[in-house]
Amino acid sequence: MRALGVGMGLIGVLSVLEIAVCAQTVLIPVGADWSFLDQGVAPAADWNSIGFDDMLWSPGQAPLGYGDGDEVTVISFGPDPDNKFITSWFRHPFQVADPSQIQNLRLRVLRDDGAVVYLNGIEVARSNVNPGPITPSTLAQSSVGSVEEDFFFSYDVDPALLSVGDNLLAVEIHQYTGSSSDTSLDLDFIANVSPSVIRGPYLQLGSSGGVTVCWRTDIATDGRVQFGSAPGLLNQFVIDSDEVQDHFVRLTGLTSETEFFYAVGTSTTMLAGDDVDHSFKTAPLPGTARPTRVWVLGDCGTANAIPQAVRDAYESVTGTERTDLVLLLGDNAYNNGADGEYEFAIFQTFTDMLRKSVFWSTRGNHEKSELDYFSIFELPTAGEAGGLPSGTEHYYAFDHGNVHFVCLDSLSSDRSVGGAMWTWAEADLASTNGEWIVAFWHHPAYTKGSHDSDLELNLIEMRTNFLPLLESYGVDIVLAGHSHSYERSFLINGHYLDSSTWDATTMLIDGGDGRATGSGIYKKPLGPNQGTAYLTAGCSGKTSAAGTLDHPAMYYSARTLGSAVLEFDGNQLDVQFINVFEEIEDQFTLRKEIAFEADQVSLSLSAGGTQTMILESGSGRAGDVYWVFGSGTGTAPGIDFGGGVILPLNYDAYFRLTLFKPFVAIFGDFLGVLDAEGAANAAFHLPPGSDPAFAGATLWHAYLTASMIGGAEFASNAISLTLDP
Amino acid sequence: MCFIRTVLSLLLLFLFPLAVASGHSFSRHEGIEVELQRITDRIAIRSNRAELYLERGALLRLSGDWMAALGDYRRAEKINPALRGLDLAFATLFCELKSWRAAAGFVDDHLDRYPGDLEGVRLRAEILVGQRLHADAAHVYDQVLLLTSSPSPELYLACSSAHARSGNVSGAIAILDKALKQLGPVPSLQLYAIELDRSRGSFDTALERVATLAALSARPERWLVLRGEIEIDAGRETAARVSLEAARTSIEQLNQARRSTRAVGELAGRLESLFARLESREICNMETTQ
Repeated sequence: MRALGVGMGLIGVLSVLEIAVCAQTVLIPVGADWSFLDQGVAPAADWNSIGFDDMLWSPGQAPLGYGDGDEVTVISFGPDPDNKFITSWFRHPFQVADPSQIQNLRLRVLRDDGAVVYLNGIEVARSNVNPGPITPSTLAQSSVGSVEEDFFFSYDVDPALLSVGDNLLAVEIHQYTGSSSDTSLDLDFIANVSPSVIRGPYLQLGSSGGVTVCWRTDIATDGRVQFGSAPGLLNQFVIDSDEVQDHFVRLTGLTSETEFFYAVGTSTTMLAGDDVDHSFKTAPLPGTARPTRVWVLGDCGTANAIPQAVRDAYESVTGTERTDLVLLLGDNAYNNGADGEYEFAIFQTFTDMLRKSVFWSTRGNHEKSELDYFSIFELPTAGEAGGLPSGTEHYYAFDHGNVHFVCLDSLSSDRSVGGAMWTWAEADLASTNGEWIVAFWHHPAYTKGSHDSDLELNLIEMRTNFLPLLESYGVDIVLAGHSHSYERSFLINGHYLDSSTWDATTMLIDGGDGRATGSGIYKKPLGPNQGTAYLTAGCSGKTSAAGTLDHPAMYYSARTLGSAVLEFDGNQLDVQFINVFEEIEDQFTLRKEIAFEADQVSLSLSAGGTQTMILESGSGRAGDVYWVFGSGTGTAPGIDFGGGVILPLNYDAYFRLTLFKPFVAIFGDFLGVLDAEGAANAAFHLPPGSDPAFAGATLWHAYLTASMIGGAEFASNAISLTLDP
Repeated sequence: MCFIRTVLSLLLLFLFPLAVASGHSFSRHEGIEVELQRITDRIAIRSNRAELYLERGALLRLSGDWMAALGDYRRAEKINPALRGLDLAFATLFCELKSWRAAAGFVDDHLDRYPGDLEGVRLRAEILVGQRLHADAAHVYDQVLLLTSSPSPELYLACSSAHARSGNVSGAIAILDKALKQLGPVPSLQLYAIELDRSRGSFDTALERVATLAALSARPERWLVLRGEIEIDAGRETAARVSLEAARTSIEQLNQARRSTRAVGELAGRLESLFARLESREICNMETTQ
């Protein structure tokens, strides 16, 4: 930070001088003149230095290249169009009178396919070219797609590399293949740039008390996030003084379930945000049941009109209500998951959503650059968002209210039983109180799409080694991508070997469609092995004609583009698949059977009211006697009726009232017989004008069922009723 | 070296049918087919590019087509015997076939050319484990840890395990403690450390580790059961009974949805077994006293 002068007058003068000295200067503009060598023969080793004699090189104005039709200067690719020159070389000298006045340098390169840039003989940028020694036959890392062809990639260059007077910027452009149809170069090189945000902002690592705000600037700066309750009221801030281009600023100590608006920038300048489009909402406290919407994207990384259409369809169908979080099932940016590919596939495709919702990702097989992947995402390693620490970003857990998410790594981590990931997952599942458990990873346990879960090792091992573990802990839904189609299972349990071993008599929990308007929603009663739904949905970027789509565990399979939405609300999960035509092509509901629930959790002593209680024990208890009891002192340790039946109430004065006087007016149908569905209704009637001395007290109720011959057979969960003034 | 490689390649011809018979199958799918075709197209234009054969060979290996992978590696070797990564590719393939000696030869060649190369050193450590040379493996894994800027839990576990199998339990635990300091109280590391502590009778340390895990957990029952188990091992029957009773209470207080899962049922079963074990211990102690 430059020191300001003393006194107000001097400050004013210094400010003017500073502006003049630090004014942005274009050293090389877009469309500049270049010298180039396009003969396929490598120049001398010092070609990228100021002293090299390039008299025999050709002159030309940028953009230079061939094949796109937009070049100002068309360069040669050699005599054979199927075997074009791999490398072309370019030089541009420029003058700098006083490098000490330059605070920053920004280079922006438009390249097809790859480029290496040198300033005064020193490499300062490498774009789409692998690390390592460079020769004239070095190929670019990937072919540039149509979206990338017009994109300028930004790089921060060290001003210390400038010389007084003559300087040289040199570029070599490399093709991906000798049959490539085009090549291009243009760039600008600017000094004393005012920083701007070139990526994001986007949100990571959301929890009930914090979030990480991320963004990229075109030059290295310090970072500041301002936040508050409304745009224009961003009265809090966090500063990261490290001068970097990729910023990750963590906000902590936040109130749960609260919406915050934010802006990003430097410690002195706001660069983006402070409007309704830049906001986030912290998660509910772990264990808190709140409506939660999760958007699921699988293999969305095609960076073309398809994921855009998937996005638009989702937004059209779901409306403007906030998406609480987004799950990326891997293969988020084809073909290699390189940073530049992520720019188009994710950051430019989901710009608006990234500003408002946390994206959680698992790594797919096309996330080949581990370095780039983990540079983009900030994922928990120490249980920062819930769950146990994993020690690695490859696999992790997090909580959002009463939903516990477990992300596994089907790509590169050890998938064996007893391995590090398995051991962590077991401990994590044993430690969570989440009412819902969602697991996700890339390689699906069940698929007959463009991949076959009977044949491929990653898929087999995830199914064989992890499904028994997950199902033993009651996982509710498992999400995966990889296969470019949509496949949704029945409610199933225990299918761990290949598809030929599928046995509907033992593995099919519910063979219906899971729809309230169809054969009925999937109900998951209390007890072990009550079923899991599996979704393979790697169809947010493309579909494939490969595969038979006939896995026996699947209820519905289709070659269709779209994305999935999970809506959690209390004990119910609604899942929809929205295709690109804005149709809900598939849907199902999974409801956890809670034996006892009520329509409200509090009543007013002065106003009175009724708490209606719903008893659902399952049709297996049809005709059984039920008895609702109460307690004023809590649910533990409970009352043991033997045979594993423990009523979660304490034996106190209120319990005795419900035991000995079940027919008093305040108790509605506290004693009765369950109907053919094993259900009944009861009620607690609080008269108006009740004694205000009871304000703040909580009453607990639970019920027992008994058959005529078996005695107490079932004890429900407890529900609460708070007495307000 | 060329002769040795030829011999090893022939060896592979014998091993390959065994590998197939063991159940490993090709798993070429659309994604790999597309990538293979892409590289094949490039090879068609530039057939003298050794790195393209290397790249295709790696894909073939991933899909289980070892013969084809070996063929491509051999072609790459013919064009450019000094191609970086080729020796490692051979070594990795032989590792998958569990042909450790062959793998070791190639990885040694690689490390001769590129001493200290992390991938090569790591592969050498794996090969030594495969050859059951645990002491040597432990030594090499130590080097891998030094070379790796951010070791993963898996790497720490592999290193620790090699030390433990070579008889150096103290060294194994020291590595885990270093990992825990670096990565935090990761259960996979802590649980292995507990296992090692128990094996050498360091029950107090094991119990401290259990307490660390319990402190992170929203549900204590699993750790209470483990604590009781360790206390039984330690001959602390009274403390064990307290822990197991607490575990039982914790399980009973779980909400029914959680309590009724298979995992909790299995834990409850394990708990009852520990009670039985505890009771027989107590009876033994009483008889001994009398």
